[in-house]
Amino acid sequence: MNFRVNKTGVNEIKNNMLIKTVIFYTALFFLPGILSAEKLQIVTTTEDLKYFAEQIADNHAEVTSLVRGNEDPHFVLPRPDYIMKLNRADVFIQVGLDLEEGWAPGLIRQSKNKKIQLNAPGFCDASRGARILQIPQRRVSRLQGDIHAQGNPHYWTDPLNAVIAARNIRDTLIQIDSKNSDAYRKNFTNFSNRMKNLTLTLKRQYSAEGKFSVAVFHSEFIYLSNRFGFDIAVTLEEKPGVPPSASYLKKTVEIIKRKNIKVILISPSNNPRYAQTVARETGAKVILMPISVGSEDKIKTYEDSQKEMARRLLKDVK
Amino acid sequence: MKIKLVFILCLTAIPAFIPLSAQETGNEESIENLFNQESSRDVGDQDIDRLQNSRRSFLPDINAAVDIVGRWDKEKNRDQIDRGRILIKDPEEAMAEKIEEWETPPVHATENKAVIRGAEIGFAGDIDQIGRGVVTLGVHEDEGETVMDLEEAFFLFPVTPIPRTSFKLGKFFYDAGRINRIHPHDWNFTDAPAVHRELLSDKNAGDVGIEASFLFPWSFWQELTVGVFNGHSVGHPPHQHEEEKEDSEEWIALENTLREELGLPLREPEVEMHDEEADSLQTRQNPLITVHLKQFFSFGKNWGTQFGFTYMRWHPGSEKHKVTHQSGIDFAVRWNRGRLRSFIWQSEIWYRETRDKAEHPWEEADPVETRAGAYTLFEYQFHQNWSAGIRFDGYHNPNYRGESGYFVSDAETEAQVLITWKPSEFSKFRFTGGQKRRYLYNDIDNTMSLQAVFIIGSHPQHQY
Repeated sequence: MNFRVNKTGVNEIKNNMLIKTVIFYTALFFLPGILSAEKLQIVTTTEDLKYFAEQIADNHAEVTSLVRGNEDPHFVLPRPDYIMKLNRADVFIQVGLDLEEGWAPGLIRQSKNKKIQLNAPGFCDASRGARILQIPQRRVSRLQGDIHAQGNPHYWTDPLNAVIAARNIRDTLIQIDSKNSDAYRKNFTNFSNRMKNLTLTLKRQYSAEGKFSVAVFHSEFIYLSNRFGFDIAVTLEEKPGVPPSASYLKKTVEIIKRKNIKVILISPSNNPRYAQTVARETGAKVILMPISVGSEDKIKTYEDSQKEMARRLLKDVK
Repeated sequence: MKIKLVFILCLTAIPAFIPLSAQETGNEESIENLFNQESSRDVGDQDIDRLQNSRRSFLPDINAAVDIVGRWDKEKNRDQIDRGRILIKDPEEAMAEKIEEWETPPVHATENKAVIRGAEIGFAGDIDQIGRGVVTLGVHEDEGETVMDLEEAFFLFPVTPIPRTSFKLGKFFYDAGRINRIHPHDWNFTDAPAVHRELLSDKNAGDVGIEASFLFPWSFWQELTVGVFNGHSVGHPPHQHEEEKEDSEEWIALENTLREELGLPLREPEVEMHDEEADSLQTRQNPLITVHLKQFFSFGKNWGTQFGFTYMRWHPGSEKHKVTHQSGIDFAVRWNRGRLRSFIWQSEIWYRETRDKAEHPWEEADPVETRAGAYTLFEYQFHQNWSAGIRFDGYHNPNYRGESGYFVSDAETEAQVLITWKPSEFSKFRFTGGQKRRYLYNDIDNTMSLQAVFIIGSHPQHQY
């Protein structure tokens, strides 16, 4: 069989190919936009922020967290799949205070998503307006370890700051999705009331134990102690983020013995070895605190985290 | 009336001056007030000031990285090492000197001392609403002189009107393989693997050009990067210039005296590159094209793998009829448990083929030169600050013609053991012990090196 294709036919085939190619690449560019659901896509750095965002957005958004609850948000290996999540995000929420400084800014740039670039409407720094503790009053230096120049970034462990973070999320969502602003306002009010009641309940429980002191591994329970009125007598880390030396641990053992401290608080991302060593020397008990949502399988909500921390701490503190 | 007003204002202002801790550990009523106050509060200007007074200001991020490396090895007789290193002016004098050196003085395969391998000063910051600027100056010692290089200087447009596409414009390292874009002080090892050194550069290969990076809209991460560069500097690692020196007229004369004695055909003097030809190398329109397709998959909560395919094409030297194609596969498999434990297996495999252009379009040209090599690294971080690893290198140039004019096996293998102490993200100290075998000279070098790196300034960006 002979197939004869004249010049016009060849051109037609070429044109068809060109059209198909253009359609394919156009579809490739705009496919995510076409396929994306109507729900807002929110990406948070931590599970706690994810929980706050879920409470405010309710069924108007899908929320994803980059860091799991048992991971250390200071040091995160920036996996490329985070870039994909950020690429599709309408809103990005970070803890702020330079907690994510080592990994989040680069990922945001690589996301190629203009909606969540720094100070874009979809960029939310949840620390805005938060009541920050341990703000350095003098010039900071790396001699002090992984110190944060803007203050201790673990502010979300105070329910009042959880409300402030949620308020920032509410304001961002209203700006991005104004048609659901009433729902966001209403959800925020409910969340705020829940946090207030939680705080009052826990405050009564903590107060019932009277004054007590604890030791901690990393300075991440300062907001909890400030809110519920207990004392942190000693930190096992001599400098934040730096493993303690043997001589410093010896000093902490003396302090714990002298002050008759019964518990050493650690979080899931801490190395438990140091606390266990000190506990053996002093007889204090190491308590693993579920400091974040998702830090343990059963810690599904912020309330779970707060209640469980109170339960574990108050059980052994006296 | 005015006094009353001032009094009321003072009363309302009092809570603002009460210390925070006094407010926050108060009774139930004050807790309720705090929550009610924060629930209805609008963010004040003081918070905006706090954010703007931080690093997110107009000042660029500045950092300086210093890389100190000391290498040592066991002394050897000169006839055991690369004889081509000796640059001799007068053949007769050289021959006498050479014989004397072969007989007596021991030499080293490394510098046998510590040097500042490089100091980098980097600036990065947002230029305006569309782009970001990055400038990296490198300072290093070259034969006793301090030399400053512009390592990188480029625009980065992270967001463009083309969806999911970013651009780079200026001088920067090619997106080729895994380690080429990472500055040497951030590598998981001290020295470049042999294949990287021979087929890209002993540090980072880069040039002036433009690069587009496209993120595919799949559910998994896949990115395609295409770059076009001047192509003037690729494929010429620094030691090649040294080799050019070694093949000077004096050396060829000395070699020919040996050839005469052995009855071998004499070597023709090499034709020097004329200035015009050298100029054409710098001005010719033969761009380097790079393509890197990379993807990432995670498995389990803590495991992930990133792998990529690189293709590069350019015209080597001044011979326009020659085309070099270089392909590579790179991958990394990683596991980590926070910052406390981690594991990485990373590898790169490269193959280069240079062909003369075929006389007719339907003919396929024969390869005139091929080179290939690979390295693989296993590293386990067994403590927050400590890690240990092993690296294996292999490189082969099957087209190398030896002094006799015949093909000889130009291959190199190396095994290294690495121990790294990283007190923080801003400093590290590394010991490397290695054994390198160079088949061309039937030579084995046992070497050790110590590396110390520190970074001052802004927080270094983590890499996957």
